Amino acid sequence: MSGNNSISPRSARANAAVGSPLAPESRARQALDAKRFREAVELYKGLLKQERRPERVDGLAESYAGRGRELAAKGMFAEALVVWRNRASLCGRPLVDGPYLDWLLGAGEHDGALRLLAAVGDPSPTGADLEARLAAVALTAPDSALAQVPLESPLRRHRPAVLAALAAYCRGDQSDLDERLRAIPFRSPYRDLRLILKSLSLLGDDTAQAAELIARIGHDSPFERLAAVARAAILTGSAWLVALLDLDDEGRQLLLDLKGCPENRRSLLLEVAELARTATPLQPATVVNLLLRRSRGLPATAAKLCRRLLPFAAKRLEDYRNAFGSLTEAERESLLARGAETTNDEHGIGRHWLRAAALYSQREAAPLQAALILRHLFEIVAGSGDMPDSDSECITWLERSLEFDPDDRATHLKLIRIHRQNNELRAARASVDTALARFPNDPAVLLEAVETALAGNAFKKAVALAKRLLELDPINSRVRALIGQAHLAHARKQIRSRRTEAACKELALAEEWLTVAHERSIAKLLRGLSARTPQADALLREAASELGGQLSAAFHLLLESLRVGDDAAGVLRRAGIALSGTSTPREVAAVMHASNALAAADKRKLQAVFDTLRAQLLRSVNGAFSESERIAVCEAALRWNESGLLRAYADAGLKGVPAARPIFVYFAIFGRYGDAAHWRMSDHERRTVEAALAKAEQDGDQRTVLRIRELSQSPRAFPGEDADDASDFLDDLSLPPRAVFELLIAMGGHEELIRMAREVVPASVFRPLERVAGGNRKKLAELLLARLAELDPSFLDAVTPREVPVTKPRAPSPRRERPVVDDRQKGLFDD
Amino acid sequence: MIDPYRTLGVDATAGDETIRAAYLAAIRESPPERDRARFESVRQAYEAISDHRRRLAHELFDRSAPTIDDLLCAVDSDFEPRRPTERRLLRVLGAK
Repeated sequence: MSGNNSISPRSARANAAVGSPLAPESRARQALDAKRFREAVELYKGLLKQERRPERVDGLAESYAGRGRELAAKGMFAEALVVWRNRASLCGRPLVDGPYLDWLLGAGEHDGALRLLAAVGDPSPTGADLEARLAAVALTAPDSALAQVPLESPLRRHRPAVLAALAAYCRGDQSDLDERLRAIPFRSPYRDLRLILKSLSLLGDDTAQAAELIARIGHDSPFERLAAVARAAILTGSAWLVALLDLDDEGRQLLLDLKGCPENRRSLLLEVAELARTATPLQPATVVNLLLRRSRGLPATAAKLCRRLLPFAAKRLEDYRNAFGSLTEAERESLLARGAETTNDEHGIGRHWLRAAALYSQREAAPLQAALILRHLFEIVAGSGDMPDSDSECITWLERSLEFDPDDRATHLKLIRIHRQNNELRAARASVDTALARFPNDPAVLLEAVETALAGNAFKKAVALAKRLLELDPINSRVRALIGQAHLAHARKQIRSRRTEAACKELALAEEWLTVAHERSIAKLLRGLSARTPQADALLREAASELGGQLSAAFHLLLESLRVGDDAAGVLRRAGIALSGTSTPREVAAVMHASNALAAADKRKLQAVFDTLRAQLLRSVNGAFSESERIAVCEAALRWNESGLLRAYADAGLKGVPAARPIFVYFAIFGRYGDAAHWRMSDHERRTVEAALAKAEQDGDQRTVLRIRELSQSPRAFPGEDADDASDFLDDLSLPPRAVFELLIAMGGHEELIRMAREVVPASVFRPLERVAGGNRKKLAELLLARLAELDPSFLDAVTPREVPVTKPRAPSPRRERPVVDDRQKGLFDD
Repeated sequence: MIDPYRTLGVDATAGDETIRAAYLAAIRESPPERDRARFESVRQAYEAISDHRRRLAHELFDRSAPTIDDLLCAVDSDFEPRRPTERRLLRVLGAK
């Protein structure tokens, strides 16, 4: 301490505090309440010098205790112990109270702790408590220190049994361990260790029981450090990694021992634990980097994970080879292909997967991989914007995959459907035969066989296959309907061939299978068409009545008469149907609904039916259609390319309805201009379309949003680019004209070439070519290609969207326009 | 998706029968009315590796992001749990 002439800062602070206007007692209390313990100690000591009062002694003791805890919290146990001893000597408080023992242990003064036990003496409650708290110290103390503990203390009496139990556990001698643990009394200071050892011995065998035992140990146990390790060891999955980080170094090493972690991998485990603690999703590249950096001595599973994640870090392929060994060429290509998928590198995907498939297919053991890769490639490439399902290369992949793996039923079925949808019936039949040879009694394959036979008008074969299928699956209602349809189709064929008797036989067979009233009415209608007798006429009238009379019946009569090669107008007369006036919305909707049920192959017949019904349908355009009915009618008209009907019904839907659905704007514009809307819309129409787009977005009508966007965009633009980009691309091409046109066909199809040619080629050139082609669009495209290729390359500028001259809306063709007598369509977008 | 082999608790070399048995045991233990999430993960895992073709496809095309469990399993697959030494235990208890 300082002399009289020199005042220490601490004393100065205390004096200053004493000299402040507040009462000394209050200032000391204030400092204590504010946890300024050092200041409180000085103030109380000053006060005690003036007069020793009990409340001042209590205040000083409290200040010392606070200061001691403050120091211990910082790990300064030795300093905390000094403060605590001052508290005992100056304030007359017992030394053993409170945290003194913990601080002794924290400071490593085990001897002092055991001396404390001797000083307190047994069997006082404080002594028993001290014994329990000193159990871990007594267990690990050297004999010299332990000599201070009385001989009769349980700490010394039970200690040999506990040490023997520890040794038995570490040896893995379960029976000896059980025996030693039984020797430790229930009330022993070592009782917690007894439970911990038992719990540790159950790890791996009975984790639930181990967890139950460890749950009985409080967190204030003298064996808490070991209990914490046992708790972490019980955790499954990666949970123990997080607990690992909460242990001290000795605890971590013990836990890693228990988990069986070799010494050379412990630092890696700690790195993994740090990653686990961040609790954020792991980045594949992070894992690859970690595994490659710490690859030495890692098991094959690490190499496998690293290989799985390499597509996310394709640049590390060489590092992988150095760390875990080389990859086969096929594996390497597979990794590169997956990497290309990750980065959406479309060219890379195809290139690398095809190379991988080729490499796998050369290996005797791995053709299945080749098959899977080809199917995978089909899934990700076919049906994408660039590659339709019908693309022949994509179909080839599927066919090749079946060469490597002919037992994949799903691929057989997919191939049959694709061929059938593409109207490649010969290929579909070949696929059916292959599939049936492999799966002769498979209902799914048989069903596809039935549908393929029906598509090819092989009715008898379809019925035979369907009956075979029914034997396997007797309650399949779809097959029953298909058999009925097959007989109906066969009956049509017989009627067309004027074989009335055979047709009637087929119709009788059809009626055995058909259960839906509508279909039975069609069978009756066909009976009426099979002959020209009064009875047949009566059947026709009866069928027409069942089919709803008027418009709806007319639709079916016309369609069936065309199918059997009869005179359509005559059939309507025989059935007593004379279309006049307007039809009800329900009738119109029924007709359009029925048209939707037809296949694309019926398109020509359907157009002939519409030619007859178009005027009647247009007369009915102002009926009281519900919004959904009108949309359904428009959708059907759109599907069958009935632009006149589409425009009329859409215009009627818009007229006088300020809040009309944006979809009607789409229908109206598409009905008017089709794919050329982008070029041909007037400014006013463009603004109307933009407003409709905004409204559709506001309504959350995503389908309409997409359709209107597609309508508004240049049909020639590449995905993600605008029309200018497309023309720039074409400008940059240094190809001969024919190659450029072939490229355009590849990009947009024949229809696109025809559309462009129509824009730029004079009608005097275009029309003769059209006549020569005779309705064959592909042939027309070829002829146009040959004609266009003869022109000067600068001609391209006129073909590209950027340079297309602004054309006025083309006058609708007379055939389409004539039936639409309602002039509202003119007024809809007039500006 | 979590590693389907780990979800079903089977080895990477397990065959169809073993995998099916593990799947049935897992859904018996976690039926959908008791633990929907666990049931779904078990079902997904089974669908991913139920037969040889699917297992190969999983190996070829799996692009799932890694989890910490994936990483741990990759580096601890050769761990063999063992009893510690007495010295290690006593050091945890405070021995110098």
